[in-house]
Amino acid sequence: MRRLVWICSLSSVSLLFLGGFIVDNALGTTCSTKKEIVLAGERDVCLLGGPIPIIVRYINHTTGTVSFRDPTKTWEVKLMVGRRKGDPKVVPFGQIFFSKKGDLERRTIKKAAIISLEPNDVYEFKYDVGHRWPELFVPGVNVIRIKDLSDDAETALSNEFEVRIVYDRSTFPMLLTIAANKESTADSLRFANDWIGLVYPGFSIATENLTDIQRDENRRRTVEAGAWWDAHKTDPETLKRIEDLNW
Amino acid sequence: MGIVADRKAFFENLSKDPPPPKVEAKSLSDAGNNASTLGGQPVGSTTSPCPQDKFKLINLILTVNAPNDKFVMNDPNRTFEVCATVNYEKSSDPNDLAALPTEVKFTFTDQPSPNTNNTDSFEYISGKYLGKNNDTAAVFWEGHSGNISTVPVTNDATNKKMTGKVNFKPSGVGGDGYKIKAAVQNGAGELTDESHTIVVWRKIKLEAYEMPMQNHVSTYGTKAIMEASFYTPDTFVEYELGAIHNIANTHKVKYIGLWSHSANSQLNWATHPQKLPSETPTASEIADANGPSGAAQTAAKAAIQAKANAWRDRIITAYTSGLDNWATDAGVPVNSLVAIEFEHPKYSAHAPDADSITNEWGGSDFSWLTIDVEGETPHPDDRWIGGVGLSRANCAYITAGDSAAATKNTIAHEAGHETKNQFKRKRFGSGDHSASAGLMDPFGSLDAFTNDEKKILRGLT
Repeated sequence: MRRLVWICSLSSVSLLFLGGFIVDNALGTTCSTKKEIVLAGERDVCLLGGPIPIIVRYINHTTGTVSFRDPTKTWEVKLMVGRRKGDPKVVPFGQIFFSKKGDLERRTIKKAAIISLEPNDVYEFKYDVGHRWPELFVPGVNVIRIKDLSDDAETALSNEFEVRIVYDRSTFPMLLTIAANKESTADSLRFANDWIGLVYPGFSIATENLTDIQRDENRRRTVEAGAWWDAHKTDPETLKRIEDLNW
Repeated sequence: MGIVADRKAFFENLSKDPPPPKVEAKSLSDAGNNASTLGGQPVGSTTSPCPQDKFKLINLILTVNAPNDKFVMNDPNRTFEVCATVNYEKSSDPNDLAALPTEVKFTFTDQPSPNTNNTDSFEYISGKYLGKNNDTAAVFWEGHSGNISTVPVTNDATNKKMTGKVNFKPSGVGGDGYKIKAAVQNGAGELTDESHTIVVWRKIKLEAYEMPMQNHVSTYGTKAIMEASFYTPDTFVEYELGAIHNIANTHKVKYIGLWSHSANSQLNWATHPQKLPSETPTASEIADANGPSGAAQTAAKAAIQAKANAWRDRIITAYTSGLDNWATDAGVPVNSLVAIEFEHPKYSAHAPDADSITNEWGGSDFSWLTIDVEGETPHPDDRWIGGVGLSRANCAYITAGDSAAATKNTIAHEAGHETKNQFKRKRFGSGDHSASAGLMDPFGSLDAFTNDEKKILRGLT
């Protein structure tokens, strides 16, 4: 991990002397000369639908103070998740809220602490991206990065972190929890619905603009699926289905 | 467009010398002199032993009035003129036509086939769908039912060409495409020409107004930026940023929410938030509010709260008036994208703290005090709302202080809303916001339209 960080920094500094401010490093990526972002994970293997904790460090490589909004509440700070090949899914940590009252629609952002880093200072935070965005992950190797677009002149991009996602016997109950959680987003509900359905065929819940009746029905179906799981979680056929999902 | 259908025959014909007349023609009566006839029978020579009383069709050229091979269908009833021009020459070859054709037949094929079924598309009026496939009542050729239109041709004998025209009415679904074909009878065969594939698009055009020094829209709302990242070809929505209108210097203000219509200028924010006497807590109210708990404290806090609310309401009333009047006074019409600096010191996330943080309710005397503002409960001296823009009276205001990325996202989002005013489509969801994560969701979750949002932009269900 440190080595990757060092490569990124060295490349930046080297090319900075050539007059570049945003540079391509040896990994074919771009990193910031002001804020370095170092990404790590607490675990290399995580469960689908379960916690996926990451550790993000911001390091000030300038000779002056660098200030920025709390990254976890900043729309310009993005999580990128994808397979090795193909475009990653990109989601912002912070949100821009669109709310309507009468004929006035307002766009707002939440208050956020301002982080000030002295030269070489490090700001670190932990975040469970699996809890917030379970739908971004699929079984297999998932590549995670952080991108910070706060500075128009310079995009800060972290190193890549690989996490292997596994669907095992602990996954199904966690998916049921997501399916039954009234705070789950439409995308998370769809995710839970799809992955439950691959082990327990025929499972189907409503996912968008839920009415109270639909919520009750979702709850009923989730309880039903839980009962099915208790009865069949060790069946060879069930285990085979789970095994197949990890290919 | 305008493919010469029978090019080979045409060029071969050009290279030939005209056949020498065996006997000099004295008089050639020309059927085409009756220019109003529909081809018709030529009135042949009566004296020439080798009369030019036959016709040879040279080519058929089809033109469709669809620049860039796009049917821009913001109006589902829009029509496009399709014209077939047949050039011919007179001939003495007995194998050539004795009479000119009298009609041209227009047909079309879906590209790709089939186009969108009516019931898979947006029903913009009861029983009227943007998609036309499978709709037996759909009209493709103005004045004709069915998929074929046969129209009479008009003969211009002087220039030896005939023309037939009809108006084509394509589907209103972005991405549907057509190849249009024209054909005329040419003896036992047909002379034909076919268009390129012409695709249905819709278009969003924004009118932008910018306050002096505020160029967020002209910088980040360009066609190149919007079409590269948001209005990509698979949306089948063409984005256009119209002329940028400069707002007069007389209406250049830091906060439009402080605009005073009567003064024709911005309120003085250094004095405007100062408490009026009626809004100022008395010494005894302050003492009781911070004294021992009990009835006196409760009553004092209620009195102070009422004065703080009155102070808040006075600021909000002026703010609402500013929003109501600034655009009108500045000559900004509805359905515009407006680049401003900030909305209001208390409502703008990026306004300087020196403006946003007031000192009317400071110190420990009022540390317990909060006010209700749009569901938030800030201390009255704090910034009330972290606003980064607003839409009001069909104008979307883009404010300063945001990152380039956020500004682009906001413009794309606001343009997305505006599409519903410029062409027919389903709403993205409640409040015209997507329920799932997307560019059009109410949280700014994605930096691009999702597939579901693209379907809506195309006019699908």
